[in-house]
Parts: sequence; C-alpha cells; structure tokens
Amino acid sequence: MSASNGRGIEIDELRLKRAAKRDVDGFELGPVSLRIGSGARVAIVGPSGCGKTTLLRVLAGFERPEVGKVKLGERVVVTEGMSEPPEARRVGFVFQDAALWSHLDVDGHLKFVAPTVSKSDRHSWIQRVGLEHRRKAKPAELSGGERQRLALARALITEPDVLLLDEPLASVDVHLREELGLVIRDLAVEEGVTVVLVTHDRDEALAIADEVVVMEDGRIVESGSASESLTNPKTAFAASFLAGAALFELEVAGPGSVRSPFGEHEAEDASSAGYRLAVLPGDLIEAPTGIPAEVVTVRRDAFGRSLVVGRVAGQPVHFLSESNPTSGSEVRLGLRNPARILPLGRSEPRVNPLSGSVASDHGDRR
Amino acid sequence: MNIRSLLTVLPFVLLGCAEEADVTLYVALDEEHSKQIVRRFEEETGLTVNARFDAEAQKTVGLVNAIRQEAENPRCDVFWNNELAHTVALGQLGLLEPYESSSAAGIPAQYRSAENTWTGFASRARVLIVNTEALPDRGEWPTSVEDFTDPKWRGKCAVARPLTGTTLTHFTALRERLGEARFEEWVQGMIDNDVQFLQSNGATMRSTADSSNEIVFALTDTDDFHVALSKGLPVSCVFPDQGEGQMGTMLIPNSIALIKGGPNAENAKRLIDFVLSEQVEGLLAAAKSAQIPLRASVTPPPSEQILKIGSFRQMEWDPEATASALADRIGEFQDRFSGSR
Amino acid sequence: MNPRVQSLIARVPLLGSVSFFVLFVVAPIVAMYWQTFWYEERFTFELWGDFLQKPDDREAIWKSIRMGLLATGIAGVVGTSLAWFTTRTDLPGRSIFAVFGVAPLVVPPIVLAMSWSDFADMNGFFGCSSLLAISNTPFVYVLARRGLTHFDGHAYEAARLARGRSAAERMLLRSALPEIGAGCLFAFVFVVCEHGTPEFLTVKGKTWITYAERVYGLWGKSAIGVDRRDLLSPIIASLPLVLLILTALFAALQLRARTDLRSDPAPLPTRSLRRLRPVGVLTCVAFLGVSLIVPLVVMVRWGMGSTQKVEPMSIARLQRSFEQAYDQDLSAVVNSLTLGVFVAITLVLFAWPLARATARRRGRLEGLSLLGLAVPVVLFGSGQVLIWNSSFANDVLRENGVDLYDSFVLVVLGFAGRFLPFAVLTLCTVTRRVSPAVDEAARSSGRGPVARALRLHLPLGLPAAASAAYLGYVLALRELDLAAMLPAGNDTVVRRVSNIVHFGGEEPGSALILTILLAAILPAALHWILTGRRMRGLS
Repeated sequence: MSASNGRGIEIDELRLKRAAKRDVDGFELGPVSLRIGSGARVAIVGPSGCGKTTLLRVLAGFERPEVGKVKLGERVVVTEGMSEPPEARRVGFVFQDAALWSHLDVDGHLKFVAPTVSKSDRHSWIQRVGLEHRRKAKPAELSGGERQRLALARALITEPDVLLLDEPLASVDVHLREELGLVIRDLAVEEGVTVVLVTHDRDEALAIADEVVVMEDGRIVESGSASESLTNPKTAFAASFLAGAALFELEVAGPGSVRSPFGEHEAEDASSAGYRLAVLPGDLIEAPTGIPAEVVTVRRDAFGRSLVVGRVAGQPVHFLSESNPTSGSEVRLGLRNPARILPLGRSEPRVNPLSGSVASDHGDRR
Repeated sequence: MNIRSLLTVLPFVLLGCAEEADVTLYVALDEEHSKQIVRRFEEETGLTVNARFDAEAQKTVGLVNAIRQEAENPRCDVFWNNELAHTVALGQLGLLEPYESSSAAGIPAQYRSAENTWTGFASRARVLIVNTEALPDRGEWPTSVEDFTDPKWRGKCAVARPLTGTTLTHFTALRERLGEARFEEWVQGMIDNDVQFLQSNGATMRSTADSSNEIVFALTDTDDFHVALSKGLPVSCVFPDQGEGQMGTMLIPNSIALIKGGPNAENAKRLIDFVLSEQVEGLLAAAKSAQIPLRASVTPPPSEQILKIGSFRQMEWDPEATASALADRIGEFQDRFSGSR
Repeated sequence: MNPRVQSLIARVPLLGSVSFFVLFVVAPIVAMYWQTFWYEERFTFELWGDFLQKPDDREAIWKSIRMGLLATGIAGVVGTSLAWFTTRTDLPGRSIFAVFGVAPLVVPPIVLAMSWSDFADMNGFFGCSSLLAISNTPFVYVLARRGLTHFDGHAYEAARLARGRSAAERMLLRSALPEIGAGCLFAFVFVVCEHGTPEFLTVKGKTWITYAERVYGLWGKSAIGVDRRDLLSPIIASLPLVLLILTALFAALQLRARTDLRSDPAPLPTRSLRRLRPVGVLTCVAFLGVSLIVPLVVMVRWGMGSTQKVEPMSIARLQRSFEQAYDQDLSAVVNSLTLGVFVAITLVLFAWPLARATARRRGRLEGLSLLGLAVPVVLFGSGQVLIWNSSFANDVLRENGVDLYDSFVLVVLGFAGRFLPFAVLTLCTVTRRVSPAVDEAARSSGRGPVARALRLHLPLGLPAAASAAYLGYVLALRELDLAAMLPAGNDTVVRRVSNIVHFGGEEPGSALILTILLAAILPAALHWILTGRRMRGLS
C-alpha cells in the first residue's frame, strides 16, 4: 500500500479501549497502523469481535480512540485530544442494515443529505444505482438490495473522499450479492473514492476490494493484495479464513523437520508449536502414493469439475478430482507444492473449515 | 363451587361485606356522621343495613340520579337526603311511598310532606360566615343577604354557585319568595358588586377563613361554619335577616323518605322511625356537623354561635313549591352562573 | 387431546373477551344513546332539536379545545424533553428520572389540583391547563421514549455523517413524531374529559366553563328534571365531546400504526450534554417537584394539621391522622386495593385475546376498544345501571340468584371496560412484534393452540401484560366517578377522600391519599428493586 495522496488514509498507532459493561465484554483495539492509498479498495476481514467494525467507526468519527492519529487525505482528523466530528470528515458510510429513514422516500433521503444538490443531479444518482422506478418509495417498500442501493447513493451523493462499507452485502439475497458488489465497485471507481470495506465474508471482500487487511483480536495480522492473500497467505489464520485452508498440527520429526498426516516436511524452526501445515483447496492432488482420505461429498460445478470434500485425519479438506469418486469411497491424496508451514495468527482461528467463513457475526457492533 | 356463589359470595368475602342486607339505605349526609347512626341502628335492631353513600364530587345528586335510574327496579328502601328539595322532587315524580312515622311527632308541619311522602329533621341554617381578623368589630359585620349587594363589600364576599345542594335550594326559595323582579335585582346586584361565585359552600368557608384572602364574609351552611370553628380558624357566624320586618334565616333540614317498591318496606319503616327519633337528632346536633334539631326538646349543638330553634327568626318557605321550581331554576342558574360571562 | 376440541378451547378466550366487550362497553353506551331516539314509543330526532343551539355550548366546546391544546402543547414539550434527556443524553441520574417520568400517573389530577391550590393558590385558565398538562405528561413521555429508543442508531449516524449533530437530532425527533403525536392526543383526550380539575381550580371569579363541566353539570339538572328532554340532555350534550375524543383517539392509533418500530435497533449514541447539563437536571427536577413532591409535601402538611389552628403542626398529629383514617376507613382502603388488583387481572385477561386478534387483523378491534374511554364516565356508568338493573337483567340474573348489579363483579368489569383501551394498546405492541414465525415454528412442531398460548405467547407477552395490569391497578385506584355510580363500588378511598376533604377532614383525608399513592407506587418500586429494571410503562 503506497504512501497517501489526495484521498488516501493514514492510521498511526491507534488504540481504543472499552471497559466491560453489564452486557458487553471488555474490548481492546490496537495498536493499529495502516496506510491506504488514494482510490484504493481495501477489505478489512476477520472474525466477530476482531475490531474491524470499530476501526471503521473510528474512521467515520463515531468512535473516539484514546491514542493515535488518523489522516484522511491531507487532513488530520484524529490526533491527541482532537477528533473531528463525523460530518466534517467528507466520509460516506454504508451500514450493514442500510439504516434508512423510515419516514422519507428515496428522493427524500438524497435531499436530506445533500440539500444543495439539484433535483436533476439527485435523479441521476437514483438512476446510477438503478432505483429510477422507485423514486417515491419508502424504505419499507424496498427490497434488501434496493435498500442498499439507496444507502450507497446516499453515501456517495455528498462526494466523499472515503467510502466506508460495513458488510454492505450481508442483508442482501445471495444471488443479488455479486451484482450489487459490482455496482459498488464500479461507482467507487468512477468516483475515484477510497473504499474501506469491513466484512467477515470472503466473497464479499473479493467482490469489492483489491486489497485485504486481516485483523484478529484488535490487531492487523496480515495485509496485501487480495489475490496474493488468497493464493499465498502468510499466516495460518489468513490461509484458513481467506482461502479456506485446512490446518494440521505438526510434530517435531527431527532436526529441521516436522511431521504432519501428509508426511515429513522441512522446517526452519521446527521446535516451535506456533506453526501449522496449511492445505489450500488447490494444494491437494490425487496421487497413488498419497495418504488415504475418505470422500464425504462430491459436487459438480458449472465447469463440469468434481469438487470433493474429503476428510484427512479427522479434518475436512477440499480438492478437485478427475477420478469422479463416490461418497464414502476412499482416495489417496498428496500435496502438489512444497508444504506451507505457516505461523499461526495471534490465536487459533475460530473458523468453520467447511465453508471457509466465520459462522456468525453478531457481537461485532460496538 | 357453582357460578352463583362465585359471583356473589367470593367478592363479598373478599370485601368483608355482609351477604344480604335487611334494608338498603342511600345516604347523602356525610358518611362520618351517618355511619355511626347506621351502626347504632344495627346494634339496636340486629338488622343489617346496606348503606350507600353519596360522593361530594357527584354534586350530592348522585344518589338522586341513582334512585331515578333504578325506578323500574328499585334497589333502595330508604333515602336519607342531607337537604330537602331533591327529596320533595322525587316525591313529586311519584317515586316515594307515603309513610307517617310515629317518631315524626313534634317536627314542624312546614318540614313535613302533607302526603307523608317525606319528613324533615336535623337542619342546617344558611348563615353568613365572617372573618374575625378582617372584621374584628362586631358592629361592622353584615347582617343580611342584602349586604352582598352593598358597594362597601365590593369584591370582598363570596357565595357558592347556586347549581347544587343547599345554595340551589336557597336561591330557588328566595326567587319564590322575592318574586322574579326583586330576585333578579338582587342577583344582578351581586354580580355588579363582584361577589365571587365559588364552587361550593366549603369553598366559600375556606376562602373566608383564610385571612390572606380578600374575602371577608360569605354565605355558607352552619355545618361548614362549624368545621372552620372547630379547626380554630378566625371565623364567626351571623344568622342573617333577623331584624324587624326582615325575612329571617333559611333552615334546610335533612329529609328521609320511603322508596316506592323498595324490596324491604317493613325494615325500611323501622329504619325511618329510628332516624327520625329525638335520639338521632341529638346525635347529629352533637356531631361535627352541628345540625340544628327541629324539635326544641332536643339538645342543640354545643356551640353558642349556632342558634337553637325558636331563638331566631326563620325564613318562611314552601318545600313543595321550591322543589317544583327547581327544574326551571337550575337551567337558568346554569346558564347564568356556569356559562361564560 | 382431539385437535377440534383444542381449537375450540383456543377460541374461548377471544369469545369471552368479545362478549365482555359487547356486554360491558358497547351495550351500556348504545343503550344510553338509544334512549335519546326512542321517545313516546317511536323513533325520533325530536330530542336532538336544540343540540348545540346555545351559544354557551359552542363557547364551552371552544374553551375545552383551547384548554386541551394548551395543556397538550405543554405536555408535549415537557414529555418530549424528559424523554430526550433520559434516553439520549448522559444526564446524571437519568435512570431515576426515567422512572419518575411516569410518576404523575399515580397522583389523581384532583389531588394535584388540591395540592397546588393550597401550595401556590393556583387557579385560572393557565394554571388549570398547566396542571392538567403535568397530569397527562406521562402519556407523551412514555410514547416519546419509545419513539426515541426505537430509532436505529445507524440511521442516526447516517444522518449525522451527512449533516451534523443537530440535523441528526431533528431527524430523530421527526421520526419519533408519530409516537409523540399519539402521546399528545392521549393527553388531549384526558384534558378535555376532565371536569373536576377545572371546576376546582377556577372557583374564583369563574368566567368560563369547559364542555366537560357543562355536560357534567347537566346531570344535576337531570336529577330533578321532569321533562324527558332534561333527563336526556347530558347524553345528547356529550356527543361533541365523544366525537372529539374518538377523533383524537383514532388519530393517535393511526399515528402509532405508522411508526416503524424495530424490535432490535442498533443503540443510539449517547449525547454528552455539556453546558446543557444544568438545564436537563433542572427540567427533570422541576417536573418531579411539580408533579410529585408538591402533592406529597402538601398532603404530609395536611396530615400534620396545617389546615387547622387548634394545635401546632406535628409528627404526632400526622400519626393521629393515619390512626383516625384507618380507624374510620380501613374498609375503603382494603376495598380500593382489592378492586385495583381484580381490575388489573380482569383487564389483562380480556385485553390479551383482543390484542392478539387485533395484531392479526390489522387494527379494527383496537379502534373499537377505545369506545369505553371515549364517553364521559358518568354516561358510561349510567349505561351500566341502565343495562344491569334493567327488568331484563333482573329477570334473567337476579331471579336466578345472581345479582350482578349489586355485586363487586360489576364494578370490576365496569372498570375493566373503561380502561380496556390502555391494556389492548399495550399488549398490541407486543403481539405485533412477535413474529408469526414464532407461532408457526411451534405449530409445525405439532404443539396445539393451548400449549402454544401457555408456553409461547404467555411468556413473550408477560412483561407487557404486567405493564397493562399495573396501569389498570393505578387507574382503578384513582377513579372516582365510576366507583361512585355502581352500588358495590361505593366504599373506595378516592370517593371517601373527596367527601372527607370537602367536610374539612384534611387530616384523615391526606392520610388516605398518601396511603393510595404509596399503594400505587409500591408494585413499580418492588419490581424495580427486585429486578433492577424499570417497568416498560404503557408502551
């Protein structure tokens, strides 16, 4: 991520602490430092409670950090003892639940946020998000996708420097997600706005963002380009969370080598227990010399390939098969590439390995 | 347990009420005084009385309305009213049963129905209550209801609005007695003299007794005056219009009547006999309400400010005529005293 | 159990409620109005001939409306401010103020009026409007609170991001407006209905009258009238009041139906008051003082003997006042409390099925249930007498040994009919919020209607039912007119107090009032202490 210019974001040594209250656990964010280039689209991913939404709310000005500095473009919006109010930050925000105003219609929403924008400009925005036939509709009459389109137009019509998105696709029907993701992406590119997206959903992240920041327990554990993180994760946590990797524990086999169910692997720091063997779906290949794996389910995808979920040493693994196995049969699997021995993140990832995404995310709004 | 017992017994058990009373009494005289008399009757006769009391907030006509509404299926046996006119009106409507009580002997004929449908007893007088701190000199005190129109007292005196209770009866009787023209002149004189028309006789009493107030005297009932007196407030009382040729002070007695078609006529008569007895009149005289006995033979109230019957000039008035006029007058008075002026 | 039997059993509560509603609300009111059309054995509009013909009538209506508007305006501003301070800000002690926002509800308006008349010689149009406003502020307060707390925190933040804090606050208020408006309309209804307070407070130099007073005054006329016209004049005269009230109540319902209440909104960010802090504290303290502390202080002073000069005021005198009150009127205290408890239970029993049916059928019944509240209480009570002491009722019931008219049961049912709208409204909110899926899920699991009602809807609705019951209890404790009209309701504290105080018994009278206030506050206080939470009020 390059140095900031125009509409970039700089976060330095940000810390925020919330004491535990009656119904809410205590919480600590940071220290977090991050540079986001002007016009970049960054997804912050991580499980529930990792601090990603809080970070987003700090950027918007809804939360005040104790320590740290935030720069939006050339303007310092957070520094010691100062936090610019949200309305002065030139930031657009799209909430997970759209957060529309039930008593205003579509046009009324835009009129409220941008009273000086002309009627024709408002209408052109309504058109750009594809709501031209719903101009007089109230939120209750809109579908989940339409609500988010309106929320998007509302956030962008004020011409912000930064667009903040809090799981914008979560409340949208699955088959509409991709389309809406593209709308968001296209509009962001057209407007040249810097995008920060928070999500726990890999598909959502990849649909909108080019870069990924992985957070865990209030800290950033990894960042880089989305494709890099997907194909070549640097931590076991990112591998599991982003790429749907299966993680296997390691035993020390001897000097400079560790053992996994797949055999022995070379490792520089084989004495450490803080490492896992990460097996990405593309890492596995059927091989007669491989280890036995039970076939759990087989699914044909649109390209005619057989996607198999198998089980190795009790762990579910994903791979493409050419032999067309049946459920319950046994295949032999080997590793295609050198084994990925990756350090854990800060803690054991709480991941549902079968789907590759976090099971739930409700305690996340702070 | 069947439905009947659920509906009737359970609530009464919960309320600690008797199951079925021997006689039902509707009482407009305040509970504090009437209740002990009812208890005494129960003790002496062994009968149980279901007493229903009036609510002051219902303008003391709540029970009269109830009796009228229940006329088709009377619930009440005996009506004990704290004044006279409404009872007489009930009689004129044919809702009362004639009964000549043996205890009524000695009660002046003026306060008894010619047809024996009602009988008056224990009475209140319509008097002037004076603030003795504002008017320490007895010679200054007003002496007549005519004083309300005296410019000397402009804005300094009060009368209850004549819409209910004794004030309504008093004004109606005055209208009968003075005739329309003179009565009209008197009322207009009061309005022109900024007399304050208050909510009730209690309110006129309180306004007068409160020395911080501009009101120095008012028209009220002797029981209200006696309340102020027993509270140690700086008040005194004047029986108005006692001079030669003046009309005298109006007495408004309690009244008791037998309801036509009531469920327990025989017990009702025993109750009426008891209430009309000299003993009860004496009790009411001794109580806080200081009712003036209509019979000279009964011990009067202890306060010497409340005069004994026979020791003052009484205003002559005809309860039957007054009751007949009541319906017309109340409409007029309502327009005049409770409308916008 | 056989499914057909089960579904029959499941319908019993609604049938019971509807029968109750028809018998104890609709029938008495219809019977009262029917009389005005049935004259000399024929149907006629004759008695309606001089309806509203008098200029005084029209002026009184106008006065009522003006008083209603002024009081409602004050209640609206005070109630909304209180709600805003206690829900939105970091006001010190806001959780305590939040509870006391509903406090005036336990103080009968006439007690507030007596206290202020004693305390500051309060009277006149403005004084009367202000006190009625204070008495009815809880309606606005509770609904405004609901409107404010159900606004989505994210929607607030979205507004703030675009236009800043004040615009977001305005947006918040705007979105709570239907609820605030509904609260104001409820307040309006109670102000125009009230006849005791205007009468009591404007005794001096009275130059005007409200329509409720005028209608009430006509009952005095009907007591001695010989003409049927006189007898029925209050019923005819009450019509404009009824229409005014019904319009206001329906408008309130419409407004409330329009509010989009999210069951689980994101919390609103708390607003720091900073310099406004003293204003907030002052507003809350002043409200508390006016509505609760002044009446309490005046009542305690009365109990200590402030209205007499025979002996100095003292604690011993206060003690004696209580002894005297309990000595004479313990039965009234017991009756009032028993009545309150029974009304509370009955109210919930009958309101619940109506609320569930309303929630399923989009509001028709909810609107109907308002009927009992819309007519003057004297008319409502007279209707009960007319129906339940009719020859027909006597033949059917009394001949079979059930004397409903003279029984405590009629008082309880009459009160429940009168207060029904509150309970239906309270319970409706909850029944609407329970998703149909909740019932469907249980249904598909094979549980019958009885099990679903007992195991699912009962626990889900219990908090609202408790609020409705509490409201019924408090209203029953303070209701005077209706109690006085039904024979078995005669011996209650409020009726007793109105007489005692009138006859100069301020000492025992104040002891009785303090007892009732304590009894009214007790359940809420206990609930608060035991669970550390506030009752959800009448939302």
